[in-house]
Amino acid sequence: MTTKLTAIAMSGGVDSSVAAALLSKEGRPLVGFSMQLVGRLAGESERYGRCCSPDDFRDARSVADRLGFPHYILDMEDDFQRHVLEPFAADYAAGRTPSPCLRCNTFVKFDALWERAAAVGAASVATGHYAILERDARTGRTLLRSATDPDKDQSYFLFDLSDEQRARAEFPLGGMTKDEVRALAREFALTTAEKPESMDLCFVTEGESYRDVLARAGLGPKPSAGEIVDVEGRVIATHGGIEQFTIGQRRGLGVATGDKLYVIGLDAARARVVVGDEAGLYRESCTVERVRWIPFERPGGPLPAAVRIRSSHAGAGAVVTDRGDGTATVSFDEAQRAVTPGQAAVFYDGDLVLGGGWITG
Amino acid sequence: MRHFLDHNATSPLRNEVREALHASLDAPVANASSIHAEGRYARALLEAARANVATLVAATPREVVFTSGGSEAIAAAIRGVADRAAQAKRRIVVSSIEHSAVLDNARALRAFGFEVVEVPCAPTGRIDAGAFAALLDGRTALACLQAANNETGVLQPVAEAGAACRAAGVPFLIDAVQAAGKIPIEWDGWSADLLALSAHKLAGPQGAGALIVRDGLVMAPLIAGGAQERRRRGGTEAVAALSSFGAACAVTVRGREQEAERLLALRVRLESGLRAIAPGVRIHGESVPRLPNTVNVAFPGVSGETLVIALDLAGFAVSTGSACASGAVTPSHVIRAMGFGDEEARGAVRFSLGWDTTGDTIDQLLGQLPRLLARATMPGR
Repeated sequence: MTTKLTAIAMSGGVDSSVAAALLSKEGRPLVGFSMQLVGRLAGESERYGRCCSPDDFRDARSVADRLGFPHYILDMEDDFQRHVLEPFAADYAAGRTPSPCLRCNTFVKFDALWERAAAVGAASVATGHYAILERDARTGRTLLRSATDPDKDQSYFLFDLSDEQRARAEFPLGGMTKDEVRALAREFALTTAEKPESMDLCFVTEGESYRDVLARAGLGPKPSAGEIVDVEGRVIATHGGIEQFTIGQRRGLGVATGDKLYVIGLDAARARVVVGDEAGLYRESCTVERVRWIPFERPGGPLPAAVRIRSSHAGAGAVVTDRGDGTATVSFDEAQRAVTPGQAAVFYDGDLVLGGGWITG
Repeated sequence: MRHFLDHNATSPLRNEVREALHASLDAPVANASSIHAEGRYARALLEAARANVATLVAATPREVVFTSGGSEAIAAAIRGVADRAAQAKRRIVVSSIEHSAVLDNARALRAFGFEVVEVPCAPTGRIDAGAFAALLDGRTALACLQAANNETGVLQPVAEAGAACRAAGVPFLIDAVQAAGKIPIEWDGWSADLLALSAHKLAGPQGAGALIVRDGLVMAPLIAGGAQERRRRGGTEAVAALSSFGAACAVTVRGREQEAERLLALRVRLESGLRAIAPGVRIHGESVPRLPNTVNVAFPGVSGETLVIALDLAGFAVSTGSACASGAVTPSHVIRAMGFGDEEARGAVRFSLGWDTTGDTIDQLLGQLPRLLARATMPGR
């Protein structure tokens, strides 16, 4: 039995509750933290995002009370604003489609929260994520693998943790299925056992869109009206701001033509939305920046991998070539649909996460 | 072993109070308004308590209106006076460092056409009596000032403010919730027309309090619906809670001077210990008179939230200045009103000593702090 204190991040949902219960049953000393991320942004005191509501905090507290460890609510709105919401808005404004959950893991849960946990004596941060961490005895690095349950796997959202961040993280649920987790929640009689799955963006309130959240946070779209053009550059319509568009989008183009048109490109510098037919959505390759490698510092040469270009993407065969300047080229075996700037491309070898990077184009 | 240094939040029941509470719970359960013997017994308990509360603040028992606590007393005072204020009187003067019970009830009246004027606070933590007086005018329906600040313990110039209110003909509300039991309260000497008290701040039970009301003051009851409390507050009186509130007042009055001296010695021991551990520590309000039990500090580069959690994990119960509804720590409006930035306001930690605090507790705290502070200090600050 270790005597080192472990911080458990608790959303009030079933996953983090069971993760806490599993660690607690091992006799591990725990301290629970719930993060208040958007209370102030909710505008009216009665409105809360899908996370961070008083009900969720109460659920987390009741689980901690039941398991017998202290639980605290941390005001992390400034961190969330700086590291997640502002980049989220900036991505849309720049014609990219943002990945807020990834940034929240890298900069909030495993950085800002870690700092606060360490400041009160914790040696690691555990969460209810579905992914597997494993220490490589040969290299001393901490490997990241897909979760056992492919439907629940969240390794995609964790690729951008540094080796130090992975070394002090713990994912007790990585080897479990959702059914097993629910069963454990009932077995431990946790109040959160029957809570519905949280979906979509945690900081968006029921009945509103992410645009409403950004507008309330003072991050609303600037009027950047521009043109909708075809691949030849012919103007076929105008639009009210490129932050309204994402690659692959069909609806809401305000263009009436006989053909099925898709957004195939966003040119923020010229405020242009490029539309074309479905074939125009396919790309043979893409460039990624801010590349992170996990099992090694850098690969020895071009590396074959299965590459996931968004969280819902199953993965496509590709060869990844690190250019040595923080960027890499991903050459797909078969052209991929809707390769979207701002999303992460994550490289896998089976269940082992090799690394990833941020799609630029 | 836990050490409790959060008496300004709630001071745990003293043994004498617990005995009084048990005695009243064991007594025949009856309504203090009933005619029968059981009812008369309940009434007797209540009136004995009323006399004890009056003695604590040097008022007369007939001026004591029992409430469910300090917040109700404050809400009843502000809303009750505003409700009956003449049409020409639409201004409320409060200090900027009042408890949110005062600030929020006053600000809520803006919706009814009232102007709420907040008196700024000096960096010392003390409100300037002259600035307070200067804001009183013929349109002022009510003025409010705390006797002592709940976060810093700084004593406020209530006597001067009261004299100015009396001269201007403005009803004066004193929030004495934090001061009562720690310093003498002078109902007449401070020229108060309304004064709010809470039982659990002086080692009484939670859920009991009082509003002292000057005879003849025109105000509407916050809770109508009965003839209780001279029609100032409807609803059956909580006899057990109020009776033990009275016991808490009696105990407090008996030993106040010696207890204040004892607490002050402990406070000095704590403050000099803190300075020795962390020469950069800032003690808020240190240049002006403060309650003998309150030490509000900020350590450079340490967030109050982090230190409170670290101390809790190490066995010490302390507070940051204020907490929001969810329990997360928000920057203290009091420290901000003293002219400090958000970082200082987020750094504030309050140690509040009380009847069960001993020198050993202080020494244990001072023994643990260097290790906790070293871990909690953010690099580069």
